[in-house]
Amino acid sequence: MKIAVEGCCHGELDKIYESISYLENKEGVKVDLLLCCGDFQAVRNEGDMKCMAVPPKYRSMQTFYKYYSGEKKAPVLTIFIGGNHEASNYLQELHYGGWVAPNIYYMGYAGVVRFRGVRIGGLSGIFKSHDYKKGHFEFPPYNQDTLRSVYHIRNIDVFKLKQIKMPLDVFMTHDWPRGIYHYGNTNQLLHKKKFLRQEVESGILGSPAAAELLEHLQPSYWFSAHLHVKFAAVMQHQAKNNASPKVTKFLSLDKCLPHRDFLQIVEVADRPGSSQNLEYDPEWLAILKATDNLQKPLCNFWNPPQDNGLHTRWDFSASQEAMMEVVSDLSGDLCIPENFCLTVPAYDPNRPQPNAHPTYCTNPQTTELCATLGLTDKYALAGQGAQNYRVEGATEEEEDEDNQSTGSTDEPSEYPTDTSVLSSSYNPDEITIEDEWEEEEEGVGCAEEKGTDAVVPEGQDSDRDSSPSRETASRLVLPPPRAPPETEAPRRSSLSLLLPPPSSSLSTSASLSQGSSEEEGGLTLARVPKRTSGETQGLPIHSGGTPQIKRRNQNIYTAVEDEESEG
Amino acid sequence: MQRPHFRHPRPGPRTAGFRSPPPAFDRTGSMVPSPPWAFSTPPPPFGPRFGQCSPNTPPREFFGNRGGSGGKHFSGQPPGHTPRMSNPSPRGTPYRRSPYDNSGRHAEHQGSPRTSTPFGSTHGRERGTNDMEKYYKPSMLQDPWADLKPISVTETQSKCNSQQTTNTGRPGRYYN
Repeated sequence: MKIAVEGCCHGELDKIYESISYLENKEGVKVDLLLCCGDFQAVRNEGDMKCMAVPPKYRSMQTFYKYYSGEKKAPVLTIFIGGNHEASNYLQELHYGGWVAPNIYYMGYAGVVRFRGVRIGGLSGIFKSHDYKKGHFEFPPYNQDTLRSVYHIRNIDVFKLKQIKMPLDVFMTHDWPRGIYHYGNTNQLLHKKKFLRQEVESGILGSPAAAELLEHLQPSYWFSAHLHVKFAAVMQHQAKNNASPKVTKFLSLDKCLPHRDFLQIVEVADRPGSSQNLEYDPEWLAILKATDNLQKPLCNFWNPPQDNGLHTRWDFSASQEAMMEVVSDLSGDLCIPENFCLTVPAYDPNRPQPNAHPTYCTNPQTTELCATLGLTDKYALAGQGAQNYRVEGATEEEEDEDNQSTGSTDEPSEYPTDTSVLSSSYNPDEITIEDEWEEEEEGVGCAEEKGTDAVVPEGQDSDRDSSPSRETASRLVLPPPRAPPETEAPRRSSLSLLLPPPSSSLSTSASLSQGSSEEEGGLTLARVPKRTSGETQGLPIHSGGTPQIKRRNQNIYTAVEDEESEG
Repeated sequence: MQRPHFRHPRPGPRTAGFRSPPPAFDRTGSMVPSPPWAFSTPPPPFGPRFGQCSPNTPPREFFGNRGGSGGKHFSGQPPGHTPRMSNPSPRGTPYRRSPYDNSGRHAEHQGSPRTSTPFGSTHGRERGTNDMEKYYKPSMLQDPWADLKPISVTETQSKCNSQQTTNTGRPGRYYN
């Protein structure tokens, strides 16, 4: 079957589908499946747009909302992973995967599905070492930290993927596996993207987590995006168990713009007799069930269980019995149910609502899947229990990597390329020059200087629940988080290093900061937060200008890692 | 969802040039054992598992089912309406698989390039066709790996840093 692979989508669904149609007609081919490697921007309305890590001046509704509302329908089954520009609130609802619109399927934080017998896996987000070990604690409305950390890859998801034993045909990540650039025409890559040279030569470009997965999974194909360049590589793995060495064909693609290499048609053999519908993957679901209790949605670091005498179980791979149990849970039907339904109003260009707040509620698809398989809705848990867990979980120690965090940049710095003459909207190329969202060392405030994002200004908690009232009996609309008692503020101020007092308890990342030791009673060290404190969500302008104190010796202050796997 | 009655055309001379390897093998080199679910026959037909909504439920019907308490917030537009955007698409109807056909529209604007159109002299439907030509590249159907040979991991290990996820890649520094 022919699979169309697309790089960064940036909400250009109309153009992508039109391009596929044009190509089909011109070349006399038929595309069976579209894979999109992130930055999908499944923005349903203005509220979702505020949950996207894009400076306000570049925000544009783009075209997804039409597919969400039913005005248009995706002409080809579309599967995508998340990148670093997403409607994070919406994607979090579907953290186990689900339909964001008819015929458009999101893979979740991580996932494996099957289509015509072809196993397709994916991992959403980009790698950032300082968030890698945390749980998925984020919950909207996001502050300036969680707006970005929400899409940072977590080790729990990589751990789950590492339990996969059966071969995968295709795997997708948004950012590149670290080192993959050595398996293709590196010179050509650096000719196209000169600014990547230092990172390539240092071997630090890309995601080490993805590299680990590449080595473990060894899929036939690996597709990525993020760097806005087409790059192909062929990696021959080390042979295992006396078998012939496997080969992975890697391909990264550009974003959807004229004259760019954003699309590629790949012929992948499907398996005769397989379902023509998108299916769950029993091995993956069995892994989800087995690992369901491993981690709570906390910001504390979590360490995966290892065979080191400290854990009773470290192997969560799926047994035959476990997979049969999954099939039984699904009543013998592996097809992913076509149970998409609208949960929030779609954007209406004739009646814009620029002040709409992001919605945060459970998604019926996730509710159904959790009920079917006995899984925990971690997103609902994060929303309900975030307050309590921040206090209880304080005894966990954290490895401090404040000043030595690495990972993929939010945007590759590159020359401002010629933008589409058609679009006057968001241009990521411009952002790379002007914004330094992930420059933690400098503590540079991002361009989001207005408090109209998902950042909730102080004192407006009561406004949060401004979403239209509707029946909620079948869905859980989660209450807004509560603000901490005001008495805590002075104590925090005494420890805060030139940072304003916190305005709200939404800053779960504050557990890393100076205030946590008193609030949570576990941490004994006050550390300068690596980035702008999440506690300052109500004062984005001030936090942007707050100087960050940089220590050169964070290692010696690193607390002993907690060896327990319980997160 | 897929169009169930579509028959994939047999590969011909115009088909894009390469094929993938045969179905995956496990790491011992043998075929993956076939559990009942692995390459099963097509599943029995099924409808929406939960009758509350289906992928084709128009927004208004859905909201009607929900009791309409939120109705005032929802768009009253018919599904086929495409609002005029700064980049007007020549299509004013829901997207169809039908060929991207501008020939009819071109006929409306034969003659002088300065012929005025509803969208201006060089905008609109003519420009739509040019747009797709700008987005298309023949390389989209060409094998991107054709000129590449597999490079072994052992050949490049010396080039790569240790890829530990906890390794920051930077040397530690000590307070003095």
